[in-house]
Amino acid sequence: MQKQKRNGFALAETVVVSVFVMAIFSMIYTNFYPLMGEYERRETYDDVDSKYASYWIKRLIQSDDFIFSTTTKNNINGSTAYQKITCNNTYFKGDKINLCNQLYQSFGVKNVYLITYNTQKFRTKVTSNPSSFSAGLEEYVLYLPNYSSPSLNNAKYRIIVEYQRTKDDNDYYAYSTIEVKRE
Amino acid sequence: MKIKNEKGFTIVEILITFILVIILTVSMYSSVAAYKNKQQLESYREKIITYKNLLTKEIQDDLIMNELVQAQTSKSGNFFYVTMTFRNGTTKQLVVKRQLANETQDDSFMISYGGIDYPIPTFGSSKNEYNRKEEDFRINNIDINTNNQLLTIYIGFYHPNFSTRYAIDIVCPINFA
Repeated sequence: MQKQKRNGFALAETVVVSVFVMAIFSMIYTNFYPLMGEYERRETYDDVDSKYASYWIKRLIQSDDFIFSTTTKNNINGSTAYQKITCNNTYFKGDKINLCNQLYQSFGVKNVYLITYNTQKFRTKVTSNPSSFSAGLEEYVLYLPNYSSPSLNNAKYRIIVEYQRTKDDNDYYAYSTIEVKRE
Repeated sequence: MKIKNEKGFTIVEILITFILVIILTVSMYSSVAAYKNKQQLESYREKIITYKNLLTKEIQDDLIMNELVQAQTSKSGNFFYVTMTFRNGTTKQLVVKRQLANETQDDSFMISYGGIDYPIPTFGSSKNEYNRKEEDFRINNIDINTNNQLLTIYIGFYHPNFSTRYAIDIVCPINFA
């Protein structure tokens, strides 16, 4: 009697290959999907509008009408690691209080953090006290480089500005940083 | 006797394969069509953002590098004008035209800055009830003023597929010292 020919894959082979292919696809998916979210988040970092707005806030802080007190300097250089800059007579004098208020309102400024040029200390502060800062700020600070090399313009400080914007009827935060030359 | 070669697909195998391929194609069609539509919208969005950023940067560069000392705004018919004078004595004019389609005219939008035209991207159009052309991408609203020593230029764009309204939104202190 002629032996029946049984070409083809056994069930076990098919199952092994299917599991292998599925494992590869799920690995690709789990690695690729978070990248899309990260890309969308980073669209809101240092875009042209935020950078421009940060420039004018930097100009305000660099002006003679900014009150750069010893307390502020100690907060920035000490363990506090930052100083929130608000539009009042603690930080500004003369017309600049009004101008500051108008700029903050027009640009949608939520918070302005004045920190050292090197971001390492502020990063440690934000990551060790996450409840004091927004989650978006923490992500942005982790995304930023350390700026460990000195500034080419001899700037000792920088600002990190948090903006509140609206997109597709949802509020979100945008971030930008710029160096501040101030003695 | 020579053994007959019976290798090949049976009709049942071919039928099952065809049915599987058809089911897969049909199930993928809607998602592929959705992706194609999304890709087209993304390309529109990219063009809008590029246009907005290009023009915004041109104006911002002048405001930052040349320093605005004076700004005059005016409106005549469908035209809005901003004449900016910089610290080095040079002046540049921003002209924005917003003519919406009506019984006798098509949509007509135009932005020029420093004598250079920045043509607004077009993404198709439709006709209004008077058979006049209405652009899909249009200048929605314009707000240009100089209050409290602050020049504000807001040119809002609208496209029916984007709930987000993209805008050229520039604020600059006048004669900042």
